[in-house]
Amino acid sequence: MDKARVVKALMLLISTVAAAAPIFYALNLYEWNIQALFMPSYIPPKIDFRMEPSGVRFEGRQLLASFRLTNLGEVRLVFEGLNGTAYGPDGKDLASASLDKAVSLPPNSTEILTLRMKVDGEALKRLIRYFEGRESINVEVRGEASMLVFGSKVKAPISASFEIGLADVMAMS
Amino acid sequence: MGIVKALSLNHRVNMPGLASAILLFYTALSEKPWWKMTGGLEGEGTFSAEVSPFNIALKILGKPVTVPILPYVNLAARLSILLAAATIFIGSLMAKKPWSKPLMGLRGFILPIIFLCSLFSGLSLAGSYAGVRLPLTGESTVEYMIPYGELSIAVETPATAALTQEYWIALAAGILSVLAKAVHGRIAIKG
Repeated sequence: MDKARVVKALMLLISTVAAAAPIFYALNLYEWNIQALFMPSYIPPKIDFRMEPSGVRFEGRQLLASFRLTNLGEVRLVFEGLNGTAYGPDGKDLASASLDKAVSLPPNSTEILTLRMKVDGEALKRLIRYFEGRESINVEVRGEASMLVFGSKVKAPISASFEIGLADVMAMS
Repeated sequence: MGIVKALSLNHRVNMPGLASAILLFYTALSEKPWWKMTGGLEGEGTFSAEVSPFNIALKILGKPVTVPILPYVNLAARLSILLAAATIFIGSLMAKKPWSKPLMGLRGFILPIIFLCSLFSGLSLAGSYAGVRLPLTGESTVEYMIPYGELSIAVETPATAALTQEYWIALAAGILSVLAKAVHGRIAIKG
């Protein structure tokens, strides 16, 4: 028999075995469950945080509401900005709200995040009116937060509420 | 015929074949990727992909994505290229023997081409599935929306992708194997 033909046949056989053997081994290992062999598996890291009000103070005509921000997830979060509005107990807008400064939050850490709201004369009058017959009122901030999550820029809706006491407002006015 | 004579050391050894075999051995034994893509800012990788026919590593938010079949497909590709390198090596040393011709395979050339086509198809498929545009090479910004109740979360990730030096080495090995086969044909005619 022609040696070249033998080598050619041998080459074809060995090449087929080299290419097919690992695939057959995998199929056998997964009991020919093709779906299981091709199914991607992925467990995403937990991304979660908790925001608790921690105090209110005035600086001139600006209301500063602080929150204790706890990163309960597995990735670092950076709060870079906020484009929001503060609403009174009647749901009417009081002032625009923004982030005082960026806050970087590694996993399992707690930082203070401060929201800055510019309260003009009209808003201040309305704020005082809310206190008729009440010692404290609830203010809600809703808007869009700009965050950096694991290297991606994320814009997410956010809402947070805090309480203001009459004494806080009187101190300002 | 002068060039063939020079490239085969007077019709004794197929030199492009030897060079191709050495590069193919290097390529098949290297763990370095042929193509890389990273997405993210400030050194934090939102996602990363390091792909070669012999190893595929995907990570999203620092966590690996695994597909059970992939290591076996990678092993099959590695064995095939190691076999191709070994046979080209033997065939090149035994260039005068008439039976050495079938040893000069073209798998080393076909693999980088199939790799590029598969990569392009894979990226198009993954892009259309996720609703994003993933680059084969160069830089782009991947934008996508994640539904969040009635609202949505907008995510923007800069991505960079490139073919690595390893890919070009593999392609060079493949081109050399084509040249080696051509030279081998001439050696066989001469013999």
